[in-house]
Amino acid sequence: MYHAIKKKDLQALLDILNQSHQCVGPLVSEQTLKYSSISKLSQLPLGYSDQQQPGEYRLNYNSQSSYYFSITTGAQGVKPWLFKPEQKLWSVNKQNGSIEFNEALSEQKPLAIVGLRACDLAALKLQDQHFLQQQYIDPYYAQHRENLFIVAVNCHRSVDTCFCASTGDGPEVKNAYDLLLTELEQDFVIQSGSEAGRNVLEILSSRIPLHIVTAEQEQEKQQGLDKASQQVRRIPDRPVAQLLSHRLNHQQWNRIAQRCLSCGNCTMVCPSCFCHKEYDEPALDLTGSTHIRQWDSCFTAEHSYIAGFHFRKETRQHYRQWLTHKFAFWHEQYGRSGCTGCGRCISWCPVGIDVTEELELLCQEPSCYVDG
Amino acid sequence: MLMDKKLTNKKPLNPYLPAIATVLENRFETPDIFTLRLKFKDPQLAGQYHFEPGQFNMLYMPGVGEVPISIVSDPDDIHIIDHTIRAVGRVTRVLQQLKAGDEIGIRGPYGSSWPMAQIKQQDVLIITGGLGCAPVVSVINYIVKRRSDFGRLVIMQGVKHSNDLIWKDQYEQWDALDNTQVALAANQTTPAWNWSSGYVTDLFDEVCFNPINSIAMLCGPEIMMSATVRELLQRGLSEAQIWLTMERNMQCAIGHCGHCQHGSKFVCKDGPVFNYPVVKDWFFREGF
Ligand SMILES: Cc1cc2nc3c(=O)[nH]c(=O)nc-3n(C[C@H](O)[C@H](O)[C@H](O)COP(=O)(O)OP(=O)(O)OC[C@H]3O[C@@H](n4cnc5c(N)ncnc54)[C@H](O)[C@@H]3O)c2cc1C
Ligand code: SF4
Ligand code: SF4
Ligand code: FES
Repeated sequence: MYHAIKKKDLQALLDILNQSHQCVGPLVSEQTLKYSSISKLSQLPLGYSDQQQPGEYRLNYNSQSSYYFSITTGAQGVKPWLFKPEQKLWSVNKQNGSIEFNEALSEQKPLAIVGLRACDLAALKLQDQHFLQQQYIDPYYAQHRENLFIVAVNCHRSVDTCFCASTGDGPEVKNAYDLLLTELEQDFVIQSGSEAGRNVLEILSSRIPLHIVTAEQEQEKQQGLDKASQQVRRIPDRPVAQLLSHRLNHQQWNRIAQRCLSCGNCTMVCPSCFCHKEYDEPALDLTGSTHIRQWDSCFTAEHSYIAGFHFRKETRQHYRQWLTHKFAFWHEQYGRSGCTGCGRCISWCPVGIDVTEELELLCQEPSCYVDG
Repeated sequence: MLMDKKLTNKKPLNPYLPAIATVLENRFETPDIFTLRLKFKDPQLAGQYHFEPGQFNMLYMPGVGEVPISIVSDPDDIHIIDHTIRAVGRVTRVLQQLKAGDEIGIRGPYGSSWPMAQIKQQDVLIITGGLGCAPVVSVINYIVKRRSDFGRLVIMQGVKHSNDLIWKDQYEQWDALDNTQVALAANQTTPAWNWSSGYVTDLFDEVCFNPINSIAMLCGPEIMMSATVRELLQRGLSEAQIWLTMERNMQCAIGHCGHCQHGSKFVCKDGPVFNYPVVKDWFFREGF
């Protein structure tokens, strides 16, 4: 049994969450969507929607619209809040020949994220697997992740670059949330998916009216999801992982390399990419140094550098590393593909390389595949 | 939603944070190769530390950076950890300047090790190229110390120039041991060189071992290891009898930073020591 709340009553949810959490939501910033601190409903981009094409991202505004969550995705999902683009790891102090390390971990106010999409929620699970569920636990990721409260949102529309339906990750949010919203013309359908979510819903019910969802509302919810499922892009319905790992010499890699700028945008916007580098920032008076990690990309030459040699120097090798990692090797590493169909790498590619199209060409039969 | 509860209650050790090691000695082997002898500053950590031959540590030079370095001392020598390092760049050149009493950061041990427990009574071929191959020195010492546990020990090493060979006396001492053979090759030689000339793969006609009861351990440039694998397969070893150690850029050593990926493997945690069949799909393939 779900409940419905009036749109304006979402403010009560923000109030409750802000009491105990740092609450972030999808706000318009720098002409895209960015998860930023939110306390007022009026900060949400009412009436805005996005339009995405290969190499293109645009926001449109419709003053007649009653929708707060019509922008599907922005350049980043929740990743920058957990796996930070730049993270201080520890510092070292030098004193009379002795050194001392101090870890840069401090108590954090728990984070609540409002408006997370199915594709990004699936990517969050991929990052959890990588940073928390292997041999070593990343305490920097964990400190933000541990008490994360997730208010997910079902998509009621999709854009041309979305292909979550074919990866099986969306557009419907199925699990891993605390609360789930579905936006209707007049209301939000709200449902809980965890103990913490039920508790918040309980508090919410003491402040605002929760209505039992009607058959019409249920139908409207389903119509929105159906509409969002109509997607123009998809990943090939073939054993992509096996095909790719046997087609490392496919001519298509060369053709992609003629267009690809090796800028690494695709890896920077991808919600599952985890690569980072570490470096030192010595104090000016040389009494110590801060050790920092920063997002990195397999499209840089330094990514594969070892003394005097780069394993991947050419654009063809960079793109092949990215694509084979995401769609082939990820299966062996984490039991599924590393792509959740968010489409960001398509929209934010300056030359509009479309990963679904390239996969199609690389995996199609018969192939011009030559093994070396 | 809360992440898996089992992770939340205990405060895990921070795997990114180095411990402090004190330099006991910095021995110069050649103008650019040196051996650092280290000890954990915290006696409790020293007592807990245990490694297997083939594993490595991350050494951190304050203010400069962190680098992966193999451990060359014997696993039973608790309280000291030796690293033989070639000064090639930013971090290693500064490590070279260290003196007894200096303190640096250390994390480890990391990665896989040579399959010492599975190869009892087999012939062991240790085939290396390049300058003094640190990751196998600990294996040689390990076998020499436990000689009766293993069959024949064959040590083959190739260097570019005969002057590049470090630990010359050491090789001669090993050669004199029972049931042990050393074969060395240099591409360019001086008249004083009394070993062979050519590549390490040219040494196979000089050494004897039983191919069906042998294990080969390879270390060196990938082009050399690749040629050696071909030679070993021709001489009757199966792929599964071949082990090798790899190097890739490593930022974290704990499977997080992604830099060391080689196909589906993370060299820092699935390697650096691999059984050949595990990596053969990408081994020595351009771009991997
Ligand atoms: C598992 C493993 C074991 C190793 N064992 C030894 C050893 O016992 N003795 C030894 O002399 N060397 C060893 N190396 C190589 C050693 O790590 C590099 O020579 C060292 O990182 C070079 O750092 P640098 O800053 O001096 O060089 P620069 O050329 O200035 O390199 C800059 C950075 O690139 C990265 N990098 C460069 N070369 C390598 C490399 N070969 N491997 C990994 N990262 C690299 C490092 O992050 C380094 O700080 C090992 C490498 C690996 C992966
Ligand atoms: S590979 Fe592209 S579509 Fe897939 S998750 Fe990453 S950015 Fe999104
Ligand atoms: S190797 Fe490339 S594709 Fe894979 S996680 Fe790193 S940056 Fe992303
Ligand atoms: S060194 Fe960071 S993942 Fe292997």
